[in-house]
Amino acid sequence: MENPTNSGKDSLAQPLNSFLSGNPVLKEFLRDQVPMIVGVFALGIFASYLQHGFVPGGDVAFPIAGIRVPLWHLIWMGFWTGYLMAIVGEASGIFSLPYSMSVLDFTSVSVSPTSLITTFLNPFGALFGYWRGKQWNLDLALWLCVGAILGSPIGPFIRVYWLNDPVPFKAVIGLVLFGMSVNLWIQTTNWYLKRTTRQREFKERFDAMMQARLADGEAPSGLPTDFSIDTEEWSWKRLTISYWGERQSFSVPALVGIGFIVGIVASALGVGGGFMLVPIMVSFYGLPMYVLVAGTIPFVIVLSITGLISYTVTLPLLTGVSTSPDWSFGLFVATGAIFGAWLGSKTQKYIPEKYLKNMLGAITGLVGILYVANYFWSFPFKI
Amino acid sequence: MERLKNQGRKFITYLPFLIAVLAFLVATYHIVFYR
Repeated sequence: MENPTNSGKDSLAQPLNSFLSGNPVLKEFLRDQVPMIVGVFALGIFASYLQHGFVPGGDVAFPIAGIRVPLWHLIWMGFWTGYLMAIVGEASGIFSLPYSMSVLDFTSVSVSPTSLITTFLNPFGALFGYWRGKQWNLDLALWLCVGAILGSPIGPFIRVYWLNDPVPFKAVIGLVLFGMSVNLWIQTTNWYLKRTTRQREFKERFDAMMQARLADGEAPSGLPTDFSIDTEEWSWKRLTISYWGERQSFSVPALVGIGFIVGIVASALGVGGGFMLVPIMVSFYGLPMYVLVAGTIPFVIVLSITGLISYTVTLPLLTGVSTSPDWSFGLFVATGAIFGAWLGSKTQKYIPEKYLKNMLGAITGLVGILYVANYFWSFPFKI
Repeated sequence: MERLKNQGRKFITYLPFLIAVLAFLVATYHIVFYR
């Protein structure tokens, strides 16, 4: 029998809905992120049983990685690398890979495909937001992805034949980290800020719009409803896109070439490639980050999946060398990385970017120098 | 509520630096007890 004063319907839903409409970021987190985070963690447990027959961790070593590490530490590693790198506009791989090798002691070739699992899943945290915000242009992404599909199957062969030993591999990672450190430092200089006028103007317009949206009680992220990245011209030679009153033209062979080279390097190391692609696209084309992600996010996803296929299928078939990733290891790291990348993208505008870039630049620079120096001299401590 | 949000935004400013310190401590803990 129905209660006349309370039918039982919507008794809790109404205050909950009004609370969530007042907290759009929390609403977005519960709707988009929580299912993904829980799903990837569950997939990690499932993969553990499927690949090893048990769940490795702090007591029992991960069989392929050959290391004991508690699951919370893997999730934590994904979280902090994903968070810090998202704030400076990159993916977690380039930080989590050296951490896996030097702190967790995962130094076999399998660390590269395992890292690719994380870099494949990492961008999904931000993907829905970009798709909803129309920060999306598959024509721009297409040619970079074609380059990635051509280049990333080559990288694993370089990794196995020339960078098999951890010492030279770390030296190459060291060079990359040092380059990244210089890039982060350059981004904080007045010269760079003056040079990138287009990004600055775009950011000023964007910030003004954000303030207006915040004043209306909307989420402190996302783009205006009329924002879209449209294709103006599409041919085998040239691609022209337009966004928010701006136009940008690209040479299609150049886009494929950039994707190809970044694809080879990134898949050989086992990272997403954002560390190379972002500076290249900013330097050559002066694209603002809000537009750049339309190309880089699909690129990282495609590169990671083709790189993974090469490590797990092509390479063993052609050479007989087994380089299986530790699926559960990668999935547990990805659980934290998805949340970290999302949190980083939401809190980015409150962080003093200059100090953060200086701090990350100093850390990556120091680690980079140590890795390269370790190739020439042996240290009394293990790095 | 508004005061709480303002406090939260101030805290967020220091969050990356706090996380970096915590990451260093956790890494040290792992090296000492697990390697």
